[in-house]
Amino acid sequence: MIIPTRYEPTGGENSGGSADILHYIDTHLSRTVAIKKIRDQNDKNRIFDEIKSLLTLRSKHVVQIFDIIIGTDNEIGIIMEFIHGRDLDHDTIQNLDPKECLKLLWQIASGISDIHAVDFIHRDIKPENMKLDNENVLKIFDFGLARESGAKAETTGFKGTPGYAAPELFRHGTVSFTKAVDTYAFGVACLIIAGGQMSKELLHFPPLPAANSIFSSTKIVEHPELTAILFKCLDHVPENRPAMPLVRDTISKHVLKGQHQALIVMNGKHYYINTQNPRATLTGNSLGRFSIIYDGINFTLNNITGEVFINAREATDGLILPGSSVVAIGAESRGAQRSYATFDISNPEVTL
Amino acid sequence: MNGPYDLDDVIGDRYRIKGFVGEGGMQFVYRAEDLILQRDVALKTPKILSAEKRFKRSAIVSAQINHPNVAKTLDYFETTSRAHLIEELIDGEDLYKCLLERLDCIDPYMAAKVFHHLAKGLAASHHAGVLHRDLKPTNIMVGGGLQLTSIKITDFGIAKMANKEIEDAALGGTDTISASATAVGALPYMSPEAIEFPLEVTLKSDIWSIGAMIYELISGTKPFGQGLKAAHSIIEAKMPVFPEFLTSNPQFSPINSKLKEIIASCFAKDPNSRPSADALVAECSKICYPTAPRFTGTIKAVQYGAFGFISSKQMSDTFFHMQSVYGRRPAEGDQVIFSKFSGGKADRAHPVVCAKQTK
Repeated sequence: MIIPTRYEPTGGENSGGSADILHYIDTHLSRTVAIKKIRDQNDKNRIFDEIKSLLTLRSKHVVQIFDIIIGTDNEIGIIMEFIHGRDLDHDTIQNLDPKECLKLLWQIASGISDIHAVDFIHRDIKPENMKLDNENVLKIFDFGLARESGAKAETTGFKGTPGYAAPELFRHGTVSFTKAVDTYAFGVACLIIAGGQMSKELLHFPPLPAANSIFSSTKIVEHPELTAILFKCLDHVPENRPAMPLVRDTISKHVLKGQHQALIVMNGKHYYINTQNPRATLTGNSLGRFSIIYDGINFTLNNITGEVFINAREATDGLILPGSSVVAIGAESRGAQRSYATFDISNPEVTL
Repeated sequence: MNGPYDLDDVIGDRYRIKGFVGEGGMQFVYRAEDLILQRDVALKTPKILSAEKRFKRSAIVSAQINHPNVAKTLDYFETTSRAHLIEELIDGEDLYKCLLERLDCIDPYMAAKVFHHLAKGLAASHHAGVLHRDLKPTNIMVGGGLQLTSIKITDFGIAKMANKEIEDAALGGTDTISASATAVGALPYMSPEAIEFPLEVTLKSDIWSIGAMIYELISGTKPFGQGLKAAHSIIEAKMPVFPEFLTSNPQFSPINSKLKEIIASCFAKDPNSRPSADALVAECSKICYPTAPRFTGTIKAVQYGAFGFISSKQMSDTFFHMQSVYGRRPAEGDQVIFSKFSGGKADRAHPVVCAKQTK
């Protein structure tokens, strides 16, 4: 295809892979871009629709798609962000300390969540498809755009990267992709990035269920809530895998351990609960009382006596309070005797 | 239609004009259809043709920002007659129309959300070395009406690479870009140095502006007033008085105390004493604010001046207590905006703020 003259070749090209990716300077916006040519003419409409959804993506952790050019021969060229940076290679992974490792996993989960938010499926999540830019921000790239796909191709069998490809992709008959294939691959990527081993079960063709202890020799073993949800990412039933935003938020709670705070306002008084002050007990008109305890990750209800309701539901000990809850002390029949407490959690940010 | 284009004109063989959106001090803005990607975009073109060089520069710098809270610059091109900038089109209204024109003041929950998102967008811009220079409510676009589903800083029309700016100033360059102070920003939101020494503005000038905007949201008034008087007050940088109602209600005083503290830090006369955008994000992320959906309704009855009910087309009557009211106490028949939670027989409203009454 003929590339419009606003793009001037730099002579650079991406190594490896079958796709043609060349580097250019976009003279209109003075930036380096990578242009990927799509040769597959069979499924142009689908590719076009997919690129359109990717164009609405605003993620810090996904390589940006800037534009499309359509050649006179109807070939599609995708204009993408060019990332100056380094690969997420073995050495980089090995040198991560547990905290850095957690942050990296969070970045990947954020990127995948953002991709899923525009109803796109990446289809080839693996460390080889990620880069760290000069500010150490992780970027996911290489969407499965150029792959021969479409309903027909999907039935012909295995596509993807062994070890990372979800078990359902090995099935015979019609295989339809869901977002859960990315979740599975993410689970495997986490294992590798956290210093675990690609097990023979995962590499089996088709993969076999991973051992329960698969995360036990990784850098994140100190976070059982996390390893539990990552293990669920490897579930062989796609529907059982957690949604990526939930995975992201769970990782973020652990990255931000001890940095949350909650504000309770009741009867004209307010209480902050945080690491310095991890517990509050509230009493309302002798109808009931409860405590909230912050363990560095969650705010949990405890020592409930009497009539205590969270968002109009009866409260129980051990309940994790969601942000923006209203606690009522006193049942509905108590009328004006009821007391209300608003409970809100701060929104700490992961800083890289 | 205003400006150089008419309906259905196709610009640059790609963008078909679908309507006139408005005009800023420097540019005309159209809604256009991108014929290749089949989506609507904002097409901007300068009013003064001599501003083209600067227009291109602002396109180049703003295209470097990639953040959900910043309207994305998509393209820049020149035709034989003019320069054009293509920006993400936000279906919505600006912050002024969405909130300030509609409400007496904005409750601190909503204000904290706006603050947090603006700080994040600004931090991304500042990381790219881009100074906005003209932050004001009409340059903030919000989607989803009162739900504020998206909040985006737009119109980096006169933004420049901050580094370049400092360089230019250091070299004594008389680049005319910042020659007219009034042209480069709405006065009430301008920092002292932006008024006094427009060539010396830094990223910290944006911090002042963001503080001025949030002050206006929670109090319903501009921190330094308007017009020439504002210019004097700003240059003096005397800390504006925060109205008492901000902290008189115990339900809202914890958040507003925090907001006041952050806003006050933005109003340091010395730019270097103001927090960075990153620091603002960090401070905002400590605020505990809920983001429940908002509804509009009418006060149906008030009893003993203490509580009452709100009627709304969308639902059965909602109970409210004056403790949950932020700002002016509503009277029967008043329009209010509220969130609610389920409370058994009748839902309870919290918070409740008065809409501007149109009597």
